[in-house]
Amino acid sequence: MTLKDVIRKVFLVEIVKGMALTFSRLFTRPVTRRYPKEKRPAEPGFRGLHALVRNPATGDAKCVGCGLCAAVCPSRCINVYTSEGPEHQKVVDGYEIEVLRCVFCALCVEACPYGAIALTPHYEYADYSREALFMTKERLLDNWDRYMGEEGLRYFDSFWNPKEAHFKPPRGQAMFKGRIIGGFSG
Amino acid sequence: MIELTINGRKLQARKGMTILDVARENNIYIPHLCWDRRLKPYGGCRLCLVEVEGQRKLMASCSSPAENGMVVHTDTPALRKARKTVLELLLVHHPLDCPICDKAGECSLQDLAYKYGPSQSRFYGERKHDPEATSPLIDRNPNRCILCGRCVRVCWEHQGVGAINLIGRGFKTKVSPAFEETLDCEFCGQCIDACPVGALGAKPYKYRARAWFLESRDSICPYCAVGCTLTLDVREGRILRVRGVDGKGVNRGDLCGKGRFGFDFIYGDSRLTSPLIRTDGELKEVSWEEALHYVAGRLKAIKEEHGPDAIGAIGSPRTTLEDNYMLARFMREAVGTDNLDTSARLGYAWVLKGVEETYGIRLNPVRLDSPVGKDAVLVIESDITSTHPIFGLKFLEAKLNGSRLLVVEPRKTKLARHASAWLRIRPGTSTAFLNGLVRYALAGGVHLKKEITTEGLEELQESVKDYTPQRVSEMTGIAEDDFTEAAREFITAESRLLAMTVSAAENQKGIETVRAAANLLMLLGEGPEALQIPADYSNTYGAWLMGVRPLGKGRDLYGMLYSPGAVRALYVMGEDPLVTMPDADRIEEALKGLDLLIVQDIRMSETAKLADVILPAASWAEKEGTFMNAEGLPQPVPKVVAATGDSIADWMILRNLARLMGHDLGSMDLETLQDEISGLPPETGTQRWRFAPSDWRLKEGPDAEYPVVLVTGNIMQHSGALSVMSKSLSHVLSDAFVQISPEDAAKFGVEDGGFIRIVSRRDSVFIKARVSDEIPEGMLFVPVHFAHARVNALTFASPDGTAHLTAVRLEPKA
Repeated sequence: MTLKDVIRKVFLVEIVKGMALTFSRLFTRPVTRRYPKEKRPAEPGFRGLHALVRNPATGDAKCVGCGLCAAVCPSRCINVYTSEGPEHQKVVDGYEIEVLRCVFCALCVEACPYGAIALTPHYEYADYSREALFMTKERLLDNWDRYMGEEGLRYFDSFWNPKEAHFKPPRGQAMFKGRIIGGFSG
Repeated sequence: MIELTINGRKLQARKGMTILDVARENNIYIPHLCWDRRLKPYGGCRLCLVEVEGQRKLMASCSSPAENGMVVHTDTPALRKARKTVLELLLVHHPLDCPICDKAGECSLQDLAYKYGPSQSRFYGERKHDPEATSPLIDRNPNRCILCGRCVRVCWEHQGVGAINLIGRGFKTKVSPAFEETLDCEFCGQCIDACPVGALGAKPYKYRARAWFLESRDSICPYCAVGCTLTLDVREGRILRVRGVDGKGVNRGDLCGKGRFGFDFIYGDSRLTSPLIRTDGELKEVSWEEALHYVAGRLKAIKEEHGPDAIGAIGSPRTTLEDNYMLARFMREAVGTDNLDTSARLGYAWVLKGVEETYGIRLNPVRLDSPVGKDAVLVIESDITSTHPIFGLKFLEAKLNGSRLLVVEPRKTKLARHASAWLRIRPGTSTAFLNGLVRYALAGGVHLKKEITTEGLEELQESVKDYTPQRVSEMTGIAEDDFTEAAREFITAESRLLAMTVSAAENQKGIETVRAAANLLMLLGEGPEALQIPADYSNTYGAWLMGVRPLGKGRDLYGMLYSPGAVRALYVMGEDPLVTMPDADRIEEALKGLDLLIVQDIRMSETAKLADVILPAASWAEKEGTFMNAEGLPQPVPKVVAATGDSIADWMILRNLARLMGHDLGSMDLETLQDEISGLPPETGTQRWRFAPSDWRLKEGPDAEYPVVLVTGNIMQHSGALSVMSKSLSHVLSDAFVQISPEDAAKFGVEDGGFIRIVSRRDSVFIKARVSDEIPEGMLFVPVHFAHARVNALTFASPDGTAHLTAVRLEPKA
């Protein structure tokens, strides 16, 4: 141990340096937020709680039950149940997402040919039971009304509609181009 | 041998192979949509184009024969471009409704469009057909059709039905039954499997799941004895559909309507969910423990009081080998009796007895592909395409491959329609016909040309001396010329086959028919393999082998069911004698006279309604086991879904019951059970030919009072009493009916769809009439499946196994 080290130890130089930094911060603006009181707005495209897009024309979900979201989901947390309706149309009886298993990759949003599923900016949904985080079709539609609504269509257009050719699929690649009901043009 | 080069690989081919065949054999990929292994080349879709060096045009590989020295390329820029254009032209009018189309994910067009490029066509056209909604089971969406014609060709070329065809021109072309009527066919659903896109689908599956939600398991069909491999598509523990996968199983991917749509019997409303005990005349739900203690106690009491031989059991041709083996052990060891039998007694047992009397062997399994390649195939009064549909297809295949198909049949069945020669015989007289053939053969001296046994030959000659062509013609109603022509054809053929079915649910063939058939074949020097009589149900053959029959002096089915008071207690496992067996009234009397009737079944059957104790058993898809098909091939049946309610496998119930009876059978699990079964001594016998004269007389012929004969049998969409539980199959046919000829309808004043009363010497039934030209005059045909009609109250059983038609009279305005 050299003399220099001994002096640094005896006079607590490191601690003084640290405390000096602490002291200097007393006079700056705080960077943290007082979270429950002060909420931070989500950035565009934030992947929060799931929602099923409500079709303003019919009042029901836009989802047609193609199941591509469930097919692409890496954590297999989506289940879609369909059946034949009275006019031989396809009816989505159930759409379930187990939020606790979701990894928020948003591949479902990307895969959906109709823009029928969204991840809302809402992120405050901690709860005490698993059931509370098991989303049924009704709850997902409710999420849309509550956390997206009118905003939602803008969200799709500005975030999920690729503006740059770079993000579009390669030329000649077959892909399904669905008709998006009410919004999401292009 | 032909040598050609595909993609630089030198390959060998046999004569008659197309380029596509060679490529497929060598795992070289060539896309195709309209090609099907079972069908003749069609060359419609133009996707299988290949480049052949030296040829200016691209060639369709599915219809170009492989030639020596050919140099073929299957993947070049020119081909890719051509295929892309072809796909683009297919997509002109193909609606891109993939998100709602059930085929998405397993659609050939989708896959090829993904592989070769265009997602949308440069051209645009729209077809505006209305989806067809009224036909049962098969869903047609003509807008999605790419007009490859596979369904049409499978239906005609392979199934021999021809229910659908392409009608219209241009964009208006669609696949449809004649005059755009509602589909009225066999409902085999082969067209669904053949369709490469989503134009044809199974209605029960419509919009139920997407291809990637399903988990596929292979199992064996629970209906007939062919033992087809079914691919069950399961989602979340529920079977949603059944497919045949090309090349898989004994059926090589073919399925009939029962196998494809009938699986939902396990979801029938009448399924039992817990054990029931009758107290004060009413069935009450109890726990397994209580039920088994009760049964064990009652059985022990009856055994002590009346001896073990007062207890009998009936096994099931529809439960697994393990279940039947356990029943046999339970009865022999825990109860100590030999009173044990199955419904085979009323059908297949006669076949085996007849074969033993003549050929000297104890078993005669069929070979499913036996008809193919035979010069002459004779089918005796059997609707094989209804009872064993996939075996039946082989007869059509044989015909297509050049065999002479001789069908002796009163009804205009599918085989009769496809026959080279259809001899419309009077019902129940096929024994006389066969005896006539025997006499004809003897008169022609065929037996002198071959070294065959002479044992019983003299008696045979004596017994058939009256069956001259003229007499046979009188007895059978076949014209003398037709008879001699058929006889000559069958006898002089290079190779031949004689096929029929004998079952508890049919009443015109018995042991003498089998004897007569065997006599004829032996005379012609043919071994037992030329006599093809399949067992009836999925495990009839297996149950027989497991010893579910009296091996010693025990009572057989006749001794238990048709002799009221003979036994005090009866254990019925997976059988519904009141519906499927003849003379229902006598059976009911016997069952009502029992001290204890235990019914172990998957459903509340008619027999179960009389039971004192009902034990719920797990169904075919809910337990593991083995089925043995008519070929004698044991095939594993896996557990695919969870058991309904509290039901458990039959063998487990019997094992538990044996323990409570104070007799542990020792077999703890399925594996030890299977080991025990595989250790059973094989039933072999050496052939020892001898002729067994066959006596023919109608036990109950038509007379003045009862002028019409009633023939019972199976129809295409149903099998025994089980299939009526299936909602899908019931959607096609759920009501009992009797088929009557137009002549008789006019004679007796019967209207199509009107109700009539049929009266036999035993009972009468009230039933709907269907006037049909499939039926000859003087005959009624009635399916036995429907419990509410109780048609088996009319029929009767004869313990000697002779053919027994039922003479009836009609009362149209009852």
